[in-house]
Amino acid sequence: MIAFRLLTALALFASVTARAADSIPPLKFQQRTLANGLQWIWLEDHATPTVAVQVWYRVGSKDDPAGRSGFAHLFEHLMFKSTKRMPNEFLDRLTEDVGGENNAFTQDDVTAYHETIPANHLERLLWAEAERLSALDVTEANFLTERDVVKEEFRQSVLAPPYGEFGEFILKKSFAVHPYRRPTIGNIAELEASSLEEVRAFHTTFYRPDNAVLVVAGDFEPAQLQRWVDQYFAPLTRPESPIPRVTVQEPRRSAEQRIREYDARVPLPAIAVTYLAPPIASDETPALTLLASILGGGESSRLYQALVYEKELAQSADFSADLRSDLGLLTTQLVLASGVPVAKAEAALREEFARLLEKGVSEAELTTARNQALLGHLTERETNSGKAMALGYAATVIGDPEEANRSLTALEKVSAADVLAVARRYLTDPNRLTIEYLPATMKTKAKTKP
Amino acid sequence: MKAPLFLLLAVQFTIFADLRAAIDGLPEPAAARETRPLSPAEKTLPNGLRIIVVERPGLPLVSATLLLRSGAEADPPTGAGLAGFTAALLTQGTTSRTATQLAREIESLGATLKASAGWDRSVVELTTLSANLAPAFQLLADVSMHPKFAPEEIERLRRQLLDELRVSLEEPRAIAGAVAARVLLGRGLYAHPPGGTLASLPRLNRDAITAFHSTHYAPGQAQLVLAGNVSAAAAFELAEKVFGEWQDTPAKKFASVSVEFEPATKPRTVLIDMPKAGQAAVVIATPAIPRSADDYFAGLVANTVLGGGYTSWLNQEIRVKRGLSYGARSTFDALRSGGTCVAGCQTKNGTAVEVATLLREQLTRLGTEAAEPAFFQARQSVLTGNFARDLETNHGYASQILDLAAHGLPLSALATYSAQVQAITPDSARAFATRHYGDGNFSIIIAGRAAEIAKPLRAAFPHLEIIPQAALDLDSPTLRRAARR
Repeated sequence: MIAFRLLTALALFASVTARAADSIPPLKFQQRTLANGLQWIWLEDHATPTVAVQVWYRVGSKDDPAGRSGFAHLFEHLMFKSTKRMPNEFLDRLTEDVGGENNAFTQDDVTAYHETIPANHLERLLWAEAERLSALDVTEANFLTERDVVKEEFRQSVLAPPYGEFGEFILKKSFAVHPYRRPTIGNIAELEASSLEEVRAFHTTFYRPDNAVLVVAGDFEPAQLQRWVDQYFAPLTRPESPIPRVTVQEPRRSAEQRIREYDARVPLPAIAVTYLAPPIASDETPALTLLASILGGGESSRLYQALVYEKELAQSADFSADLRSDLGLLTTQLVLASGVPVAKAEAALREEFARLLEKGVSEAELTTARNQALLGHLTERETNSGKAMALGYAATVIGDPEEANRSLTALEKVSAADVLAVARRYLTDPNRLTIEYLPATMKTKAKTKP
Repeated sequence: MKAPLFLLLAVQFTIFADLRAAIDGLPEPAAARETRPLSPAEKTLPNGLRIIVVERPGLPLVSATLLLRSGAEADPPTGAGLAGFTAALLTQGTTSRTATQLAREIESLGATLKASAGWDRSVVELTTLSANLAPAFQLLADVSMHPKFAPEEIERLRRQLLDELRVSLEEPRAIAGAVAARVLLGRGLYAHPPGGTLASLPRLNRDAITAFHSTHYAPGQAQLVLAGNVSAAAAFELAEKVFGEWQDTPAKKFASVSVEFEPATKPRTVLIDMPKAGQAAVVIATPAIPRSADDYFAGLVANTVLGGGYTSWLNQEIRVKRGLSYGARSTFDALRSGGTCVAGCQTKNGTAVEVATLLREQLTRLGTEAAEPAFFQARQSVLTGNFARDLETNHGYASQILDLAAHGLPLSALATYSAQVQAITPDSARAFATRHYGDGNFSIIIAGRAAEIAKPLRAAFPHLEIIPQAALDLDSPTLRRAARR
């Protein structure tokens, strides 16, 4: 789950997929680590006179303090408020006002701050990022106003859309103990319980050079960039205390589960089926990525063809491999077509899984999945911002920026047998949770039945 | 308290301007490096099809879009959604390929192919790996020229669209937007929901669909824009080979639009009661100008002062100062025969009226107060910066060209865009708003829980109309379903 500072949607990690090894030039980045632990990655590209600056922090909503669901994301918003030397919203003065842009997002494992600016403004952004890393200074009034903004973001993303609470419910029920069960956006009560004191503590705990990755991609001279990074980031001190890490281990699922939930706002029934999956750094990630594409990517995918097109049981049918740092989740979501009994749609879905587990996938399906992944990666890499995103994501969520290149070549080596093997390993009965998510009116009907 | 706030804000921006120079340690920017937009190549085939190409070697990708000059504005009076329905059916089967075959072929090539209709245009959009341009382009041409419109596909898509519509009719934002168009434009041009309504979609039949296609999908009405890793010569050759035999529609068959752009002259305040809404959508709406108007750029910049980018007046007042919303913005839609300005946001039901009041206040302010110069210059940078970033991608480049092509504007306007934005002054932007929004002809539309909204709304905006969600009729300017007999 991703929550943003601004409304603009980034369709970035919708599917973390791949490419053909010899047709995408690798990202030619370099990296270093400062003495204070700050990792920095740069990629020189003079195609346009812009530069992307990003700082990725290894802290996400899984690190929300107890009883403070949504805190990491609320904190992200506050990083745009005053610092010792910058007034509120000064990042907007340095970006938007000169024809650049900025935003930030919080995920389960990371929080990333990103800007694209005319290249001549690079030094100012490096200065500003170092400043808010080291000298954030939020006032009570700013804290309270921005917390209200985040509550409106919660209402807008969860309470206003008819299926807004469905996604949250899936996560809450899919993880038994891991903090991935808590939604990034949090909830009104826990947001309201947070305090400015906690904001300061969170900054001290997690916003430190040895927990950050700086990525710069675009139009700059590397020697000059090196001098600026040394000037602005090297003086930052690395605290002595260790960085707290989530160590909770999610237990394996041992028996099939089924849950029924009612929601007054959904017009049509929905079904979710989830399976626990390995962490993103797993060797199985490439095969799971292609499996997800074959089942749920595009209109040629199996679930779309069978459930939406041929049988018209669902108006949408998705399958995603949401692989995170600690563990992953494979999720199928169906919103049913009008008048379709839930049992009928579920039976058809099971039939598709059974067919997959028995017969596996074809070479043609593998080619389609690889080519769609290739298209997705190339499209992302049209901009400096997209290149920096690929590197920052690989460096933090996966753990190595080289994964931005390696994960693509890995897809080429996946065989149909590999896909069948991961399907058989994870799409099992004991690993399955099925959620029926029904309009509240169906509850009344069920009750009135004799 | 309202009047002093304006003064405070002006002071605040002056302080910003000063701080920019005074901040301890802030480095100065280096000298700016400029780029110029590429010059597109173009050619018109004997059948009338105009082809525009931007060569962008580099990544092995190409975007190709077929643009038709008609869209939802050409929907018949009782057939809202016809243009969109026709477009969506293109990829659902041709005379030589089934829907499933099309999906498999296009996706296996590492491509996407989508068709849709908006106001004044329909588009068929292809993005592909450049190595597969030739076969993917064949599919673009096949769906554009030879759709089958099989009855079973029409019925299947109709059921899907109706289900999607049922879901979107539960979203306050979707309701507020659709109601705003009806309130502003009555029964005239651009007034109806372009995606159709629960009543209109069942009425669209195969005859109407095939007629729409044969009338509006013709080379004389079409332009083809390619951007990416392809040479102009190769693109022209490919287009000629694939589209060269496409027969043009005789000019007499090109039906003109049946209704006029006639904005309502009386403002309304409309509350759609959505008892289950977890948040309200609040908008202010006013008629604006067509794209061809001489003062288009003044309107564009004025709109950015009001609600473009993070630091616009609306976002400052509603989000940054008061925390009332996740984000407020304003949309300036300048179409072929008219236009609208619709501004708003989502907020909790309990603050919907406060937001409505702020929207009215800021729209009024736009016509009475010239923006502070440093702030105004920043608004211009929002526009020029967005434009420059669009030119970083094939799709962005193509969409800028499509906008020009759709309005019959010269492609040289790519190179003058920034200068045209920069030529607007705070006074000319204010004068635009005085001229077009200064008569108080703006309507307020809220979709949310009437139990929390109706009473304070009536106090702030007399002549309130409250329409229960269940009685809402988007096919009618009254917005009310006729009472059952």
